[in-house]
Amino acid sequence: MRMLLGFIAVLGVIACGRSEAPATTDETAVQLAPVAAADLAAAPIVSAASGLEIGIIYAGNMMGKLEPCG
Amino acid sequence: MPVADGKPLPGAANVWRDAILLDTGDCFSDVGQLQGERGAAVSPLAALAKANTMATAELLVDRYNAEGVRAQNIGERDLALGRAALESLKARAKYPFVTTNLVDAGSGKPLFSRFVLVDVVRADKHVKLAIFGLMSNRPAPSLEVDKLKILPPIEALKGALADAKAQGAEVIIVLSQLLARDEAAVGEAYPEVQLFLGGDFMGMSPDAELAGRALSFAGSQKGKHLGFMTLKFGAPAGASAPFIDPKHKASIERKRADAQRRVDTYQKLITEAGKPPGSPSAAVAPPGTQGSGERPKVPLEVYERQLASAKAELQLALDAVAAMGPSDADADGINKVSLELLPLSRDVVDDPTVKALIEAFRKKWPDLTPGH
Repeated sequence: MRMLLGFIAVLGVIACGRSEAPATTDETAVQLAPVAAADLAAAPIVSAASGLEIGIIYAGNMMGKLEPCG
Repeated sequence: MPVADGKPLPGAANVWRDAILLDTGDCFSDVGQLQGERGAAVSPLAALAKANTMATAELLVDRYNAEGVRAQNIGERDLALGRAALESLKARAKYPFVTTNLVDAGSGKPLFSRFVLVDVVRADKHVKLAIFGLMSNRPAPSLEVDKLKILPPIEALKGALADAKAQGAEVIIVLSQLLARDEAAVGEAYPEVQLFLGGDFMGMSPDAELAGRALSFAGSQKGKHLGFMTLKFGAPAGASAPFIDPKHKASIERKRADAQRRVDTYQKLITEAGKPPGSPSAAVAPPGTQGSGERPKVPLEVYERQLASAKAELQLALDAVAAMGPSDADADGINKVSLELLPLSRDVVDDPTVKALIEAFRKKWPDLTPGH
C-alpha cells in the first residue's frame, strides 16, 4: 500500500498511548500532566526547568494536503 | 515507534508521547484553489473547490482535536477561506487558533487568541511556554471583504508579549507565517523571542537560521515533513536564556564554505571574461556553455552581481561564526534545541484508523491537486 497519510497519520501512530488532551481555553495555561500543588510550591523558581527535556512536533504549510506529495 | 523510513523517532519515547503538537499555519488552504473567487460570482467548479477545501479543513480540525494539538497559527493562504469559514473552524476546534497580529479592522480586537500558555510539568521540573502566531502583512484580497487587518508584527507582539510574561511565560515561541526579513526584525526588536517555527518560505532544511537572537526553524510544505524538536533546559539563567542548536555551528560552516566557493567561482569568471578571445584561459566557461564552441556571452555585470551576492552571504556566515563562540555548542550549562525534519516518505507507517478515515473521505472528496 503506497497511500500516504501525512501529518495526521503520523500523529495517529504517536498518539498510541497518549492520554486524552485536556480542553484548552484561550490565553490560559494548559497543564500537560497532573502535579500536586505542594510540588509546585517546593520547586525552586530559577532552576525549575533545569534538566527538563520536552518534545515539540510541528507541521507547517500543509496547504490542505492529506497525502504528502514528493 | 517507527515513523519515517522505518527509523525510530529521535529522542526518548516518553518525550514524544508527551510532545506538544503545533501547526505553524497555512494548514487549510492551497490558495490557488480559491484565488480570484472571493467577492466575485462563484462558478460551479469554484464552489466545488471551496466545498472540498472546507471539508478537508474540517477533517483536519477534527483530527487535530483527536490528537491533542495545542495551538495552530493562521496563514495568509488560510485567509482565502474567508472569515466566516475560519470562525466556523475555530468553533469546531478544541484548541486555540493563535493569531497575534490578526484583528478586526473596525474594533482592533484580535480575531482569535493572541497567545497560548502551556505549562509543562514533569515530576519536580516545570516550565511555562508562551506560543504566539504571526503573519507578514501583505496585500490579501480577502482582508477588505472580511473586515480584517494584519497589524505590523512588532507592534502587535509588544502588548501580547508583555501580557504573557506577566502571566509567567518563560519560553517564547512564535508560530511563524513571517517572511525571513520580518522574523529577523521581530527577533531584533524582542530578544525574549527564542524560537520561530515555520515561516512563510516553505524551507525544508533542518538547519536553524538566526533571526535576531532567536533561532528560526523551517516548516516544510504540503505535508512533506514533520518537525520533531527537542528542548533541553540547562542554562543557569533559566528557561528564558537563548537556545543553542549544537548543529547550528556546523550548518553555518557549511554555508560559509559554500559562499566561499561561489565567491571564488565568480571572481574566476570575471577574470576570464576580461581576457581576449582565443586566449588559453577562454576554455573556462560558465555553467551551461561548455562545448558550444563560442566565447561565453554572459554580461560581466551578471557575474559582478552574483559575486556581490556571494560576498554578502559569506560575510553573514563569517559574522555568525564569530558571534557563536568556540564552545557554545558543546557546553552542558545551556538551553539546547535540536530539530529533525522527518520526511513523510512512501515508507511511512500508516495508522490503520486514520488510513480508513482518509480512504472514506476521498470517496466523497477527491484530491483536487493529486501528485502536486
